Amino acid sequence: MVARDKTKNQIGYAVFGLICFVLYFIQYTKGYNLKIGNATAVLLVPIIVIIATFFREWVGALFGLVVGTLMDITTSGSTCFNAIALMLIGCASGLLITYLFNNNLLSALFLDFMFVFIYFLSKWLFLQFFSGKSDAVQYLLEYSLPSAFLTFIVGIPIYIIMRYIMKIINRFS
Amino acid sequence: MRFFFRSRKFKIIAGITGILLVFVIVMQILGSIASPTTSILGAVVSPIQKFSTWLTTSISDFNTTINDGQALMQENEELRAENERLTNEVLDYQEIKEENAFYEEFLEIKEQNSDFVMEPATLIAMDSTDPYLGFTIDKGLLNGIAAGDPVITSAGLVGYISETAPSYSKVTTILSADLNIGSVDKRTKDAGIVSGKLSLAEKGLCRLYNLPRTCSVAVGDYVVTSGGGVFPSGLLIGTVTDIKAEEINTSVYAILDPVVDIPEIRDVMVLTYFSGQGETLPSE
Repeated sequence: MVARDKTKNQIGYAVFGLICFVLYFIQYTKGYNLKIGNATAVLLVPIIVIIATFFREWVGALFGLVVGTLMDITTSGSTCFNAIALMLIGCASGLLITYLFNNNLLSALFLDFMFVFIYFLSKWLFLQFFSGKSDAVQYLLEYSLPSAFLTFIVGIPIYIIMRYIMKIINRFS
Repeated sequence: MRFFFRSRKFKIIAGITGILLVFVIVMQILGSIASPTTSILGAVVSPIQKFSTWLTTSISDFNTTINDGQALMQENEELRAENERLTNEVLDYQEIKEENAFYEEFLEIKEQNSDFVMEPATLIAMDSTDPYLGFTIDKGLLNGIAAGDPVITSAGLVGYISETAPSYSKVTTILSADLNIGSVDKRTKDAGIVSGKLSLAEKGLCRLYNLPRTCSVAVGDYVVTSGGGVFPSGLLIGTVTDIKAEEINTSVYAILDPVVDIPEIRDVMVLTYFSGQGETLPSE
């Protein structure tokens, strides 16, 4: 039973690792157009929250660290910001689902909503507001908040798809 | 949950966070060099990013080709096959021709500025969340590129290198509010500073500010870099499309339409050396 769980987890890590990798390239390849007006969906944030709800805090933090570091390669002026933020988000999501929430759609959506907004607000706070950018408030209203909302919305179908993939992994391992 | 905070896992996560925070502080002090973690991962990821960008561009080009060929396919299967073969040849030819044209245009710049040392680079990733259209190129410290180096196309100035790693570099464009470039109106010699603004970047524009109210800048004028330290003089930035009065003081500013179509950039040149190159960064 333990060996079976281990195999299941290893397949899960591989599959979700691959999904993260593919989504990263989709997100940062020129021509990415999951945009509405100024809002851009950052697919990798809900993915980390969802992975943490499946595999708990340790794996969530590890995935967050790797994906965040990848994002730092392409994000302007964000030395280690994404790595730290996503690692903490992954860890916190896993902890909340382990100790506080039931692991169901509703709690996953709540965590997705909460952490997506925390991510965008902290990004705005550290990279815009504290950096003393003159357009910081405009950036928050026109870019950060609409992007957070779009990312949350996009996170819903992603959760459903990933839940389905997880079910398939559970069935076959 | 209390158990977690006492566990070894928590200590490891806290340790990694601490190390990354130290990286942030050290990078802020050193300035414009990528952290070791992103540098290592970047070396692995850059070739794949280059491939994915190439793939996207190829699919887009191929789509156009297929759409053109569909009418012929309906008329005659043989002609379609022939057409595809010829189209592929034409695509290859166009690619080579474009490449030649790219280098030819730079040859002209090189002939005009014999002191320029240029490094060709290709866009490998674009930060879709950046309203100022910052992007990543496939060359870095190993190719002699340093933070602060100007980035150009044959049309004019694109921006500067804001961060370097061994195998890639990040480019901040002229649309960014982080950039301040000493510039002059080519016709009137009125001097000002070119910088971006969020509301203008949305429209792909930037501005030339700090102009005296008595200046003679007019719509249609070309604006070029004034030189001195960070950028060589005479690099074309854009054309004046409008002139407006500042709300907070008596100066005026001109709205510029950059000569470089930044969303369409594929290949650029990085000026790794020019005579008179200084050491200060454009944001300083």
